[in-house]
Amino acid sequence: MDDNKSAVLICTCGKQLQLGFDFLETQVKKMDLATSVDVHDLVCQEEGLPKIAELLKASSGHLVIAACSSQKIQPRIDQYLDSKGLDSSQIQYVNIREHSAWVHKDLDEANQKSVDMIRGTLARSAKSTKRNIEQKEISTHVTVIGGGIAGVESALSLSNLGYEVSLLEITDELGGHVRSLPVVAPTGKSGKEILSSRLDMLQNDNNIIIMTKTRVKYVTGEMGNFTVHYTSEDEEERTLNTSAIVLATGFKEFKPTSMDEYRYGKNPDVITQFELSCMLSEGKLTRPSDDKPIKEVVMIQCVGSRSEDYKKDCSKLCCTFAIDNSLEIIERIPDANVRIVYMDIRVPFENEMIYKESREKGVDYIRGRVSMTWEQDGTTYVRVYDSLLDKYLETPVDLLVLSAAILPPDGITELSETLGYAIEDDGHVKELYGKLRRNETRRRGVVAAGGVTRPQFVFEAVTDAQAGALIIHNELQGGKIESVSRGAVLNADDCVGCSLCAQQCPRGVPLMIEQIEDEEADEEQKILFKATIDTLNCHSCGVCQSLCPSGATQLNFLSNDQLWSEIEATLEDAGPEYPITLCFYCEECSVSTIDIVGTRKMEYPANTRLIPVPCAGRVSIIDLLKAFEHGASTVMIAACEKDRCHIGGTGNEIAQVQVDVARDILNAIGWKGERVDMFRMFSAEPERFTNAVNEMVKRAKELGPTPVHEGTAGKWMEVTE
Amino acid sequence: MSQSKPEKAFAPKRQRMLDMVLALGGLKEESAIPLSKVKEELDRLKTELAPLTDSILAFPDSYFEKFLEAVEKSNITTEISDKGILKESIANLEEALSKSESESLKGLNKLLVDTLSSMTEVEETSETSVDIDMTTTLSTISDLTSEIESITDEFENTAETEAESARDELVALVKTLNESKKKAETDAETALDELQKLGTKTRYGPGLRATAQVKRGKREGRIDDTRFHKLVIENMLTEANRGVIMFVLGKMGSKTVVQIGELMQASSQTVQNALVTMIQRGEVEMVGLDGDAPVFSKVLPKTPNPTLVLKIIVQQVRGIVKSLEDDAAKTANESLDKLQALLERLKILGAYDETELSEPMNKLRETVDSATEAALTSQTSDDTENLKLLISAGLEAFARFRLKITLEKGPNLVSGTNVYGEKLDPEFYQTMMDTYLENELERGTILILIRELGALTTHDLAERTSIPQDRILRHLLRMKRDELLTLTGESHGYMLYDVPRTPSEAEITIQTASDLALQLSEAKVELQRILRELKAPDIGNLANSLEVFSKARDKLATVYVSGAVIDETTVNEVEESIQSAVLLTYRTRAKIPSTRPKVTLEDLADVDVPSVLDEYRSQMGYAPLLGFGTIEWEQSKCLGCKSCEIECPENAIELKPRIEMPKFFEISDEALSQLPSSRSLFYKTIQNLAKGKPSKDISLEKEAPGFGSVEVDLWLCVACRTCVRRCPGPESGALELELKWNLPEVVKQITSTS
Amino acid sequence: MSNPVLIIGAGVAGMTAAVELADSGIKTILVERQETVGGNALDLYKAFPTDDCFYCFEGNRWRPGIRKCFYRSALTDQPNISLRMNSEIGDISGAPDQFSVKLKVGPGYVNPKKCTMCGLCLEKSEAFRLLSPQCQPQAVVYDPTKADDGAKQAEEECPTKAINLGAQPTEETVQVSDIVIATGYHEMQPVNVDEYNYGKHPNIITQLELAKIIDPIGESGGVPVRPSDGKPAKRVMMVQCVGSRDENYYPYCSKICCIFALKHANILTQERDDVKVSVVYMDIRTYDRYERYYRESRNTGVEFVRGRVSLIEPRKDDTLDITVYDSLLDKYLKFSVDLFVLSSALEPSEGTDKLIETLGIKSTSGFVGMVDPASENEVVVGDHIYACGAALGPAEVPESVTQARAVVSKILQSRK
Repeated sequence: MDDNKSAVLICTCGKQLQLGFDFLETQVKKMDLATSVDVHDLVCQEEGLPKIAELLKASSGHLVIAACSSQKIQPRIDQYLDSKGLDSSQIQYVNIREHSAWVHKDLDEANQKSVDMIRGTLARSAKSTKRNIEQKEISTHVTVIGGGIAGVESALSLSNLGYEVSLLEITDELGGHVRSLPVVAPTGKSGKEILSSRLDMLQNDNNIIIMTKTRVKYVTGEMGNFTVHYTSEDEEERTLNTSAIVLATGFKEFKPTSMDEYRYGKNPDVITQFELSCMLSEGKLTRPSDDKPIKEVVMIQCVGSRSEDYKKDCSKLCCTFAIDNSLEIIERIPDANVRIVYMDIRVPFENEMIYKESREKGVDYIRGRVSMTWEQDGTTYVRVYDSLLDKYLETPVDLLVLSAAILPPDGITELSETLGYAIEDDGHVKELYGKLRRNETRRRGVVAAGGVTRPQFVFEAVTDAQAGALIIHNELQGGKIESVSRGAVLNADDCVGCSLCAQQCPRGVPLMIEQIEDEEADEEQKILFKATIDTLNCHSCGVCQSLCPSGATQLNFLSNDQLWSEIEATLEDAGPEYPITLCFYCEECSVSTIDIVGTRKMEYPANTRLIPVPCAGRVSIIDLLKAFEHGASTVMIAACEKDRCHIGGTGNEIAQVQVDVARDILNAIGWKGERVDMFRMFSAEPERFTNAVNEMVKRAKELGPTPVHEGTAGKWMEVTE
Repeated sequence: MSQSKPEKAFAPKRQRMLDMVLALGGLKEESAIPLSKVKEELDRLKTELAPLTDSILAFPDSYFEKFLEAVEKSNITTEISDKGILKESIANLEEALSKSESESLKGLNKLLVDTLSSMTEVEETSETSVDIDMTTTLSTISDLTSEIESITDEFENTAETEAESARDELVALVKTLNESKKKAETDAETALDELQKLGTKTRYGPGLRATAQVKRGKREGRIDDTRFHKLVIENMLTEANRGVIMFVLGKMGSKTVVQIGELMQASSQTVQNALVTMIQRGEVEMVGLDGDAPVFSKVLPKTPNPTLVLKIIVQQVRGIVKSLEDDAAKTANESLDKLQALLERLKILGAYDETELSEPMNKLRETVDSATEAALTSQTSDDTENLKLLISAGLEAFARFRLKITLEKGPNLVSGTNVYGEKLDPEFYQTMMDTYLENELERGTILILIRELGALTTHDLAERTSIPQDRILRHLLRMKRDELLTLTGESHGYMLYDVPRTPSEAEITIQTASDLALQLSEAKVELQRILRELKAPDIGNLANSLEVFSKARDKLATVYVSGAVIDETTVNEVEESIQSAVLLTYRTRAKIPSTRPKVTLEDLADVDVPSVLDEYRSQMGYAPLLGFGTIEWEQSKCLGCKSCEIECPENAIELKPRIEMPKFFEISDEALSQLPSSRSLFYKTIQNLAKGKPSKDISLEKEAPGFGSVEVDLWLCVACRTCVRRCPGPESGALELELKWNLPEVVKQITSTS
Repeated sequence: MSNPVLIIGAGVAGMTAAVELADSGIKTILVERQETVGGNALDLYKAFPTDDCFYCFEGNRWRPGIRKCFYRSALTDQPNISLRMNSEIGDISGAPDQFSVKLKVGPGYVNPKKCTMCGLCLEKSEAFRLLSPQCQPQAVVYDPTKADDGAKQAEEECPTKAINLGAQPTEETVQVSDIVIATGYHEMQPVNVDEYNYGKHPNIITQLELAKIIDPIGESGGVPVRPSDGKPAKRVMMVQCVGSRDENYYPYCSKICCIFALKHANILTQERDDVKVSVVYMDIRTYDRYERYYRESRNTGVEFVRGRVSLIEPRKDDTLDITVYDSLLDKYLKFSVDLFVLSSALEPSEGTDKLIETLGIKSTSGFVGMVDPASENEVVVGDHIYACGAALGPAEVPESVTQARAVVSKILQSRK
């Protein structure tokens, strides 16, 4: 059985589809790449699955299924075939239901479209290679950087899940900020009590090695094989090999010395909220300047946060912090007079009741801002504008407490340069996807927990840490990673070492390794780099393949030849009379938008041919030009919205670059640049796809035959400018 | 070809580059001259020079012989008072002798040495003690004061009568003033004429000038009516007021603001306004206090002398009072107070007939001087030294201009207010004056000591004057800044301070003579060395030493001893032979090959860098150049991967978002085959899609990985070849460094400047 | 093999927990009261903080990429997940790790595994409906009340025989080792807050109803229209803290209603044409990075009035005259408004109190409470009993997902 021919199975979806199935059958039989053609009514149901298994065995794995959206039936088919022990990795799917039967009124055109798409997929399946299951053993050691509540909790959870952990803490004591909190909001317990139970568990857990007073200088390598370079007290650099990293370095309180309306730093009686907490937990509550008892306390909210020049956003914790501390002060000094100057008191959920309780206990809330602070013979005065009474209030004050903003910890940006995670514009670690994957960062195997990503309450940090532990467990699989390798495979001897893949890969998977021979390289000797890609770490978006000048790195399920031959086969008889629009759509936002267009039976012209790619980033300028070479009138790419790329994160932007350059080049060589374009899809707004297709088909008609059709393409030698 | 960036600030390397090219003057060898010819030229020069050099070499000795005779004859050495100069000249002569033996110089040196030794014996200071009977002097003082008082009374009465006579004239003036004020409302023109007449009467200069200007302005039409009207009412009237005030102060003596107001029937406010500008113009000045109202008087061109003398006397008497005891002190005090009151009245009086007063005032001055002298000598011996110093220093201090002013202005600043009504509180003024006086006195003593004993160091001064050394240093520095002292060398670690002595004519001669002696002997030795065997490169040095001779000779021509130039005839003869020698050397130098070839502009375009580096190093002894070279970028081999930009340590190389489309069609098949597979496929596909060959480049809005063209900033590139080694392009990569100096920039720079 | 895990509620939290557990090889039973997965997420057009569509759940090693759409999650085909749609929880007995739970499973008119959404039954009768193109499981839904003969015809002709009109609700008891409560929140219908007379006038709606109106897939295609007469609404007023921070309803603050109120305000002012929005508030609580919504709304001209609504009088042409006391200006202001939106309190979904009582776990003002607050483990609510998502109190989507992962992490740790 010639191994590049494949069997074809067409599904009529219970005879509901209005396609000329016998016409399809005769056409596909004529194609030499098809060994057999079967039409079946219900491929996805129990009666259909054995048919698939049988055909798969017959055509040694090369099978094309023309049915409905692969997103729905593929999991079921894979499940069934795995249960039967068959390899389902080489099955190609063509969607003739949502993509042609349900959306085109004119039957013949729909039939022709289906035939062309099946021919393309046959060409792709002919060149598909068998993918086998790969195995990789990695060490089950994880490094947690930062010994605050988040660091301690993730260390405990990871050791419970069976991993060895080394916990690096920069100061000489664990506990971080929580250690000096007198009371923690919902529980009413002091920070020390919350920590005590955990610290005991930490001590007698032999999976965890605690290293205090160690600072991480930089980290190299990738998931499964990180090397952490750190220095302990004696400033001598040591390395530590680990598989994954948890960033739990917490936050840093903003010291508002530069805001001179509060005179912080110049007047000892002006302190920040955290300094007040430390005073409260140490039990000495007197005026820092001259140790006199405290009677008048004024707290100012939003110092540095929600302001244009320091931190634009709100720091969430300081309102709860302030109310806790004010209640603590009133409890210790009953006749103290506490005033809180605020813009908006932001206390979530249960803390609202504590806010009400503090109002009843006599804490005075002034909605306004501070205009001036000054000292006069030993006492500090502060002048506050009260926006409700629209009057200025001047009071002497024993203690002026500033609820300063919560900023990212030091050292985060330096570490990001070597570790590769991205930084948010307010300095915190940027999460991989704000809605669903808050703990992960851009680099695989690097997880951020606790205050380092955003200001968090204690219970939120604990939950973050536990979730981070699960993510690392999912990634490391307890040390034995085994799965069907689906991603980019790099052939080292083709690689010329141009590092374009390493520069542009959204998840930073490729690593550039310098090929240094043993003896010292002299002046003339070439600096040679080679890239290495661990397929198990790769997210198979295909960006590196589209940029690689030598085709060294290819997706093992969609190589360059497969795509070029599919383009050629799909556009086999495209000509000027029936102008064809070729559409590359990504199997993320675009496929769901196009499927929904199908499910809602929205109408669009039939002279379009759709080719699926894992991500828009996979389409390179050569694919676009090849499409024109084989007779397409217009070419479009359907991709996710900006910053919404589902797979890697920047695939759509790189495709945009390819399209822009293609337009310029086409304009320069005598073509019309408008023939190629890119559109952004959003599954909640399906009409985006129909509008895009209508636009491109209109352009195909208006611009008329392409130079390829007219035969003038390639004749640039004769034409003298 | 890569062009460098458009004109930008001179990168450091480029600056070095330009300086080097200009310094070298030339980079290419001229047509070489055979060595034999060079040798022949040198011999001819040597023979021609022989006669001239003998006379030149002999000249210095003969001159100084005659010089020594002249000096001994006129023994001008006695006129030398400045030891510093003497020491210096001796040093020069000794050094000259060490260079080459010369009888005359040895003699001159001996002469100077013994004049120096003669000066340094300690002159014994004669001390004349004068004892005057203190009581008589005091009594003469008191009756002299009463005499002066009577004279001042007379002056005041005369001033009084004058004031009376001037009153009615004043009334008339004031009347015309008010009339013209009223008229000004309606007819500004005539009002202005009247004001001008008033101005001439009061002879108040600024007022006259202002009115004349306004009139001319009106006539020439530069000032329109409304403005003219306004000018007249406001400016001209105040000027007139000022004129009247000047009249009052001039005629009726110093008055307070209120008195002037009454006299002029004008509000004190207008008077005050007018007064303020007059004070700023320096026409009026406050001279005293009547109660707490300040008394103003006309500023006298020159404060009459007696008032000044009286001030000094008051100061001296105050000094004397300090040194006297009980009853003598009491009487002296009384006269002191009287004198002070007298001083006040004189100041208020302002101008008066000096002659009458000057005679008694001088008598009083002498008596007070002798009194101070007496007070001095009557003291015990040891502190007489410093007291005497103190007093003479005090006198020294007074002579100097600054203290005089403070004494004059000081008192009324305390009692009166300055123009802006600020008062100087007396206690602060007192402490200020005391410290001020004390400082001035100390400085005075230091100055006198140095003037007397010659250059001294802080160490010696501290011994003599028991003033702590740091304060002395501060004074010395202060005086040095005020150019009262100069630095003249140092002795065992301490700086020598000396009063800027205007050296006498003799001192000048000796100093220059010794100086030139040193130069000439050096030049003589040098010249002999070169002439022994002449080599091509020494031509320059030969010319230089001859140059030295001619300059020394010119200076000697200006040295006079007792009115005549020494040995004038030989001095002029030698002049002519030196000139001809110099001429000869320059001519030969021009003939033999110069070591500084000239660059031509076209050559610069293609110059091999290493050879230039060696040339430069041979010339200048070092080659500051870092790597220079040109990076060639081959578009067909470039993958657009920016590895070169990332790797370059000087970030001199950059991938610009600009695609050179025409080049896509100039890639040879062989280059295409060497390119990586996808890249060559990309070019092939474009070529067989293209309808026409593009002519222009494409510029992209934003960076595109894999596309662009490489540009190198030649001024930043240090030719370290890292980019060439790192470029992953096929074969040896898309970049190539040529050690060629193809710097259009330099050519443009040179052509623009020449 | 220990028993499976029971997950009550298939909102974002429940579904994430189920999928994570399944990927880790643990059997789960996912029970959902409605016919489709997604809970509240399905009705909200755009989700804060990332302003993209709601229908997605996270991808991981087996689903490469950052996220996947609901409709592709193929929950019915997950081997480790057994789905129970429109079913209720009966009583629960047994010791921890050995719970036996009685499930009241609703009639399965349409077998989700069989239905291919070929659309035949939809044409045949009104009784069949496709809730949303993104619905999961991908199957049509049958409403017995609208039964007609067309439905019977559809039953016969259905190619995969997926329809069984005669299905009856069944009872079932399952043995489970752990229970995960992911029942979510329910937006209070502020009927009994009489000063806003919600329910008496069609143009007075709640935020969720507003979200449905501005959803492009909704009937009005995203154009904000007045429910009373369908005309586009030009003036919209929103009132915050309706029922929350209020003694006689809910004393706590519902935490996220400020954020999605301002999100709606931004959508109205930025993406729809000429709609003027004003917001009446006591405190705007857009904490953390959501301050961005507050900044953007202020920049696009949303009017903020700090005060309370005192009187609402509907006028003949369906507009509402509203007088508001402004505490900053200390004056009464009068507005005429087309649409009046109440940000009503988020209360625990109904049945949570019964569940708390049967399981004997703590309750924090109606929501599920932590077993031991001092331990700060918010997801552990009892021995072998966990909770995540809005069951623990009003929570934003990312928070619920993180809590779900924490639950799975705790379960795995307990089983190690």
